[in-house]
Amino acid sequence: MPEHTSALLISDLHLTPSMPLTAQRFFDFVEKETNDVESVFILGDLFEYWVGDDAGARSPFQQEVLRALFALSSKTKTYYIHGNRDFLIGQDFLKRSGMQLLPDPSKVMIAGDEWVISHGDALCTNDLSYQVFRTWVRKPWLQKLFLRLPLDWRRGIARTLRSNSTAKYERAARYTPDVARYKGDVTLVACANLMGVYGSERLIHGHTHLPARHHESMGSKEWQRYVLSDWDLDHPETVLPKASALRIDLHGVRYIDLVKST
Amino acid sequence: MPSVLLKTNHGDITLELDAAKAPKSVANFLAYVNNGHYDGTIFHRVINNFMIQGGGMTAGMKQKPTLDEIENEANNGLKNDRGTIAMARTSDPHSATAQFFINVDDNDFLNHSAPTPQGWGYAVFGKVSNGMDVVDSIKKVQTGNAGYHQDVPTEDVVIEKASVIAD
Repeated sequence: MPEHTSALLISDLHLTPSMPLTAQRFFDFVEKETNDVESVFILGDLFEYWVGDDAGARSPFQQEVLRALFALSSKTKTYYIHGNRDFLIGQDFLKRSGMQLLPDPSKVMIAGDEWVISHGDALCTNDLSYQVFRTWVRKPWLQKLFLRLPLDWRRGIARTLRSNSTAKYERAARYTPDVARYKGDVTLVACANLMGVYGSERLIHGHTHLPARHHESMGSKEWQRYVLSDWDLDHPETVLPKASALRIDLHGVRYIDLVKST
Repeated sequence: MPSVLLKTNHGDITLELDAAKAPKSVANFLAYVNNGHYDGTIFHRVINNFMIQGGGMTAGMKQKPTLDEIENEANNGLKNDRGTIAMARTSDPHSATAQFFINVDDNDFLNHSAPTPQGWGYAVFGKVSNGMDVVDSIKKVQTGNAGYHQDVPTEDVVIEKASVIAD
């Protein structure tokens, strides 16, 4: 198992040209806050959406992010796990970014402890229709077919999927908030199962946008669960600016608030 | 055109440097060649179908001391195309010292697009005029992690000697 003396973990930046302040925070993070750690882990949803490396190659914004990642991976080991928005990031982009793709979930050794890291969407097992959707879109043959479609079609399909899921989520949050919470969070059973399979007591994931540290147990199994924050500095009128990273080193585990430290 | 020969343990690579378009980068590179800096350094970052980077570490991933950082000349119109050589750097655009990389594919995203920290790009200052087959053999070597670094060849790819063969 790879060992890391220190690491920063981030996820759910949802980078897009329409959120320039969030993107700028990421560029600053890469330049200023990653110099004294051995490794950086990006646990998915780095981008708001990804419809193929060929589309990225044509987008000046994505090229800018690619350059930042290349600079980051030139000085710091950089690992990436696919999210539910950018799971189509492929070998071409990964190679040029210098990032190393890790399977979801993965077990890594950081500062002497074993951690299981995951994007987290696979742990939201109360949302059955999403899990069915997920098993389909993660099928390599279906992805291959999708990537052969003309770019405009792919963008259209991605847009429809995003707006459907946003509408569905907003409807649920408004009329059935309990159900939305129930479906939008990870389940104890899924986490317990994961911790059992990996024989681990520490879990880090993103996806739910519910940053917090949890101490959980099921039966005799106990574990710590750290949830990473999403980033959004571009909608101060509706959302409190948020951006953070989890730092693990010999001094312990802590969240670093990247909003306050700008 | 200045020309430099890199004798590696995979074979010889000849570089033709563009002193007209990248005077500072070329003068800097030649200074390292002439003071023997590159002798015994390795290609420590090899990513197949992307680029091979070296000139800063010796075997065992030990960093060599360098001269001062130089100005980034990426706005000189030269593109990071296959077979070109460019200066490596940190996220600060003007931080190149000794390390360089050879592009083994067209890497448009490394080209200059704007005079901003994200848009500066990487300064191309020459190209491989002979021995691209050697570069292609290096790009395919087996790599792994070594300390703080990824994509490090498992068997050292060494620049045994760098020398100026034409001024």
